[in-house]
Amino acid sequence: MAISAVPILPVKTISGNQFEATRVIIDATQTFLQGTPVQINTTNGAVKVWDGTTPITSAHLIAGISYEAAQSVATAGLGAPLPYQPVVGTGSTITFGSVQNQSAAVNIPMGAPFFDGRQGYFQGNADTIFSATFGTSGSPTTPLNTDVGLQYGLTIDTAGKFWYIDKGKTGTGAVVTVVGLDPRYTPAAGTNVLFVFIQADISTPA
Amino acid sequence: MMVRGTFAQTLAPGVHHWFLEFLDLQMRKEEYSTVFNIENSTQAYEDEVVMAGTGPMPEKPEASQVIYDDLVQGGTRRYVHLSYALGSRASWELTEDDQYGIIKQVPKSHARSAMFIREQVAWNVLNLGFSTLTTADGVSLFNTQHPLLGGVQATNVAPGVSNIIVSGGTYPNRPTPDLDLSFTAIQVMINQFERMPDSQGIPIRVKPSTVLIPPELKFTAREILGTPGKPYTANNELNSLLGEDLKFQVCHYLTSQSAWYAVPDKEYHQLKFFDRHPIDADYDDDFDTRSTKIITFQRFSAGATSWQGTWGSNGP
Repeated sequence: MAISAVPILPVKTISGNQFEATRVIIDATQTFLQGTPVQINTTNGAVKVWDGTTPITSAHLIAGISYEAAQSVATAGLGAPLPYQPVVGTGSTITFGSVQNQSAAVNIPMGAPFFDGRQGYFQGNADTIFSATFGTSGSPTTPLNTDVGLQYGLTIDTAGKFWYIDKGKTGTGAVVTVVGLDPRYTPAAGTNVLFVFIQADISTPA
Repeated sequence: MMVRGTFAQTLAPGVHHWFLEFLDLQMRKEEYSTVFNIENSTQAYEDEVVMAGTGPMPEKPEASQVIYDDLVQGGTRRYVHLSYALGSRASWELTEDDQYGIIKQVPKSHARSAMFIREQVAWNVLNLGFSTLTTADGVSLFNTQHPLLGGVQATNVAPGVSNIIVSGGTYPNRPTPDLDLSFTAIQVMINQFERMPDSQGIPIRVKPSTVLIPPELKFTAREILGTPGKPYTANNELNSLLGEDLKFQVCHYLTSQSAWYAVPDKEYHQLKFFDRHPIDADYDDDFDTRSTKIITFQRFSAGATSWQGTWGSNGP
């Protein structure tokens, strides 16, 4: 059963500061959406979708939540500028057709999203409170006040490919702590809850 | 954060002279703007597309039909503007107790930092031009085989290029192999410019005017371009390069000590610098701590749309 999850987004910080955002190179062939839990590939330092492995060990730590959809590239960080350098790639991953006699040239459709080889995400630090859809093993669930303070896992929705708080994952499967019901919604099946990441499951910011 | 504990010398009068490097050591005069075409932008990025013209006009035999030819759309070069910013923060107490007004001059240091990054990013277009920095044709800016949209027919048409090209349908703006700056290397460069065609093989009007060199090549360049006689020979031959009106420019942001480049006047090449947001400074006081925050910001991009009108040798 699909849950119609919505993107996970930060809604506030405990300190009142801005959400801590980071942009680093993106790993190869990533296709995840905005609002997706991401991790750092420990072999190359690039951002990729969180593999969902629990209990979390050092190679599977969550970095945060992506704030933009991934643009799939053939190699990690393709075109990303190094310090003091311009963007060296094509500037977009969306191209069409081919160019006569120039196999390496590309046509970029006007308005195609620009790309600099990097991916942005909000860090899953203890200060940032995120909002996510609430469900249980693929079914929308009504969040209750008694859920606040409990620890649950994250699961990707089979329909929309967004992730939701999964009440069915507890114990070593948990990666977040529910800190409240999202005040924007009257609690009903699949409405949002507010959460922070369990800091033991979070990698050090890049 | 700058606080009184780390800037104790500013708190009491009596220092005869503060040697402020960011003011007393003058920065080099702006260099990138002498080479790059500076343009403004109001968008997140700028797209530039190459379009080749028609090929040479063939004879139309009597009573036969005319031959139709098309323009050729080439690749797209996208300039993605990046933001550059730097902040400094000083405690209220330090700002107030500074007896020399040094802290208030932090924006001048930021301006220096901002100017440096403009130079370095722009010149890295050349530094990376042998490897990762590509033009609309998809290959590196300085390449021994730039593929021409007109293909082999273009180099068949282009007059006198058979001894210059590495393979049919391509044209170089880099020697094979790379050459150190020398009298003969400059002749090779000039010859490649003289024969440079458009994508259909029609010779283009382009003449190198400036040899861009790192500081290490300054003396060699002066010897080659400045002597009335042919350099490094005992014969009384004329220095044939004098008639080329070539000047050299020492570029202090080139990273290689042996790579050198040549460009014509700006209107004949497509090296570009897009100024999306000029250098802009702002400051404010933090309400809770009353510390002063100073931020300097800018957005720009640099690159090359086309290789024509540029030339580079990565030294050997």
